[in-house]
Amino acid sequence: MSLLQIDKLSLEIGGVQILRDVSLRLDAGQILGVIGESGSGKSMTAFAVTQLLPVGVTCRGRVLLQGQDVLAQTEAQMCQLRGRVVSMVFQEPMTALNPLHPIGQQVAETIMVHENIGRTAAMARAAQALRRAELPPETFPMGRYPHELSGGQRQRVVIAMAIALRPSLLIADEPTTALDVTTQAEILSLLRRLVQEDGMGLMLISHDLAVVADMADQIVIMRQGEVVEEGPAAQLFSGLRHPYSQALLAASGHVPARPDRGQLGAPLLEVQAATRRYAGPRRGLWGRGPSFEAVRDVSFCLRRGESLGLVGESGCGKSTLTRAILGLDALQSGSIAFDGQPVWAGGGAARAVRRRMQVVFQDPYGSFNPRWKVARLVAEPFHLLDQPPTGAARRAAVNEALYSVGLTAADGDKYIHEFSGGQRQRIAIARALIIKPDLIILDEAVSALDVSVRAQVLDLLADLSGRFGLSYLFISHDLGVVRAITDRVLVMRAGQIVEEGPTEQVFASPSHPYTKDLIAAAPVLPAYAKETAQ
Amino acid sequence: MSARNLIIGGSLSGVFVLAALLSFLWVPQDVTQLDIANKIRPPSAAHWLGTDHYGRDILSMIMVGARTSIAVALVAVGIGMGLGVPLGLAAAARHGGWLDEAIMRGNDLVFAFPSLLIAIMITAIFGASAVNAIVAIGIFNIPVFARLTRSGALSLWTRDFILAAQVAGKGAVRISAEHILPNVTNLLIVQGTIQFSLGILAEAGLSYVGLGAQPPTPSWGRMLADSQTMVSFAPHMAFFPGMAILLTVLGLNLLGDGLRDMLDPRLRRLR
Repeated sequence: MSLLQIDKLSLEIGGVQILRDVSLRLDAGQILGVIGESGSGKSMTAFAVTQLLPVGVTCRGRVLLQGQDVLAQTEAQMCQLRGRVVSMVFQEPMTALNPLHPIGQQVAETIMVHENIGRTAAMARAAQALRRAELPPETFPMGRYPHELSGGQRQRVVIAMAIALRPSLLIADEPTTALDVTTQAEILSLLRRLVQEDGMGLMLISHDLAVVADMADQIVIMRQGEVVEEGPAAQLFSGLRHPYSQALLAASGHVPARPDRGQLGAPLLEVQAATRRYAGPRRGLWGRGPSFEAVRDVSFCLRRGESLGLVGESGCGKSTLTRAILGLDALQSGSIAFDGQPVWAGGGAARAVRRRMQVVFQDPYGSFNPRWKVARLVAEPFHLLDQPPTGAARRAAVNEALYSVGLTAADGDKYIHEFSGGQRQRIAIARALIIKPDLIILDEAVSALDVSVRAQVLDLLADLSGRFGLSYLFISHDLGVVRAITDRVLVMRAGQIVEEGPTEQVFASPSHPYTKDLIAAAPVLPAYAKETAQ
Repeated sequence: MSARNLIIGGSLSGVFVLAALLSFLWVPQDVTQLDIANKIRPPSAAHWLGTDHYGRDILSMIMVGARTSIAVALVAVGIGMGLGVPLGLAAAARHGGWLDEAIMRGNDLVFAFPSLLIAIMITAIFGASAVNAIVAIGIFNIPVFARLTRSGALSLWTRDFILAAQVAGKGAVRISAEHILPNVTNLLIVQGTIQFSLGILAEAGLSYVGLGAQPPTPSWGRMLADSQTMVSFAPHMAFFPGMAILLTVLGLNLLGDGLRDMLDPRLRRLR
């Protein structure tokens, strides 16, 4: 008998079919990887197992958990199962924890809900669970609050809550997507260890092929509510049958064809000993704590036509540096010059410089005013021109920008909510292109996109750089993407550039220990899978 | 549920707005015309809601009184929004700076005073009149709107589309007007409806103690005050203006709730 067996599960919300005949099975002590892009129904499958479905959902089929059909259980019976037999770990640990309760209490609560034991005994068990999640109470007191921990530590608390009662099945829904690569590697090895120690079954849901390929014994690939490919991880990638899974594999290792521009031009962006300091926290009525240097003595140069990568984990100062380059914040010392002219001049950014730089942000949902139509959104940077085009000329420019990113003129009359994430990112690029800048800063611009959409956007960026002679500053935590699209790379840590050099050289033979750690931590597809992709 | 609130609230407040508008064109009987012979009559065919102690038609008084109530509340909300919203936008744009601090502490100061007491003080200094009542009620609407606008705007200022506008070289004033304001309007509409009902209540309260609209301008609050000594033998004189206040305030509150449910996606349930 399998630990979990799903037979022909179909799921509908208000007449819309979300899952179609999904079947999969997972044995104790095994890891089942579920891969899929957004909207593939991978999370819905997980929620069907725990019966934590939104209102108005109807399920058909069978979901057998240790031989019991969970679809036939009452809510009271499900409450008994949840936490004890099946547990979940979610993507965002900050929202999965109650910010007002200390971590020890939150773990103990799970135990007290299920077992009739006192607070003291529950706290002792909680300490044990936290220790197993590699967050020993000796170094991380149980009285700490979630905001006092880092993202990875918070995720360990969530894992401790999930494993406190030693469930037989653990469902981890994108458990490392919100974390940095080095933290991701630690959390994944923790999960693997727990599976081995407890003989627990783990259902690992992810959009990242490399993460799943590294971990799973069995793999299921889902698309639009259906299972398109399944099999043992070791053999799956060498014999992908479904065109979608082949395309997915190809897209995840996609390297866009970039035009060869031969000799690089003159320096375009020169950053010299840039330092940005933030005032310390308030102490008492007038006092201030020690100030914090987010960017420390950073110098680099980006040449015309070059595509430069800036890699670093969260909190390393990437965003602060971006704001300074864009002229949104002043530096405390050092200078930033664009084509020889200072970016920051006399208490504000110089307009003449600003109109030659544009930016594309990470979040395709947050980077547009929801109440404006696309044509107006795209035309916003015209504000930087002294004589912006009006009327028909303005619309023609908007249309041209939309065409160049593969959209149509008619899209200009729609609102932003009518577009998918990938299309929105195209609109963001159109907005950056419209005033024909020399440099586009891409701040995690493809991180929120599905792999196949990401491949398309990377192709588009490569194509545009050839057509318009653009230079890119590509800021990302995703080493694979940076490797695919940049000529040169800077590695940043704690406000400083620790390594710099041609991309291939840095990736092939990193010299700084931190760069080595980063590259070692990044999950990679197994070699045989890479061959298949090509 | 929200649709029901919206319909009931909308029609209740709609009736009183229509009555107020109609009173400009026609009333059953001129409210300045005294008819002592017919004083304190209970409801009849000639006077649907009866007459008061001067023989004035109560239905006409309520219709013209609605005019006063609505005008006072509308202008008071206008003052509150007109000054409060820009202050809130400014505070959010300079979040953490001295301007933010000054505006918000000023807000706290106004909030700290009991509003009716200050209204009485204003009317005591400048004399009792509808205009002074409007100013007094309006002043207390300013911090409500300032605080609401600021909190709505603060969450918007962290969004990427604001950063994109900054990259496009737009200044704080322009961003506030083009990006922030349109995205806080739904908050303002809902709060405006609720403040409107509070304005009607405040006007009735001030008129009741004789500090609102002065005779002969009819006002619901003063109709209540006038009927006070006669309530044992002429209850209709108190009942109808009382009902007018109750139903208008109820209607506006339901309308505000309904609008909030309709405009706030967080409260929208999956159906």
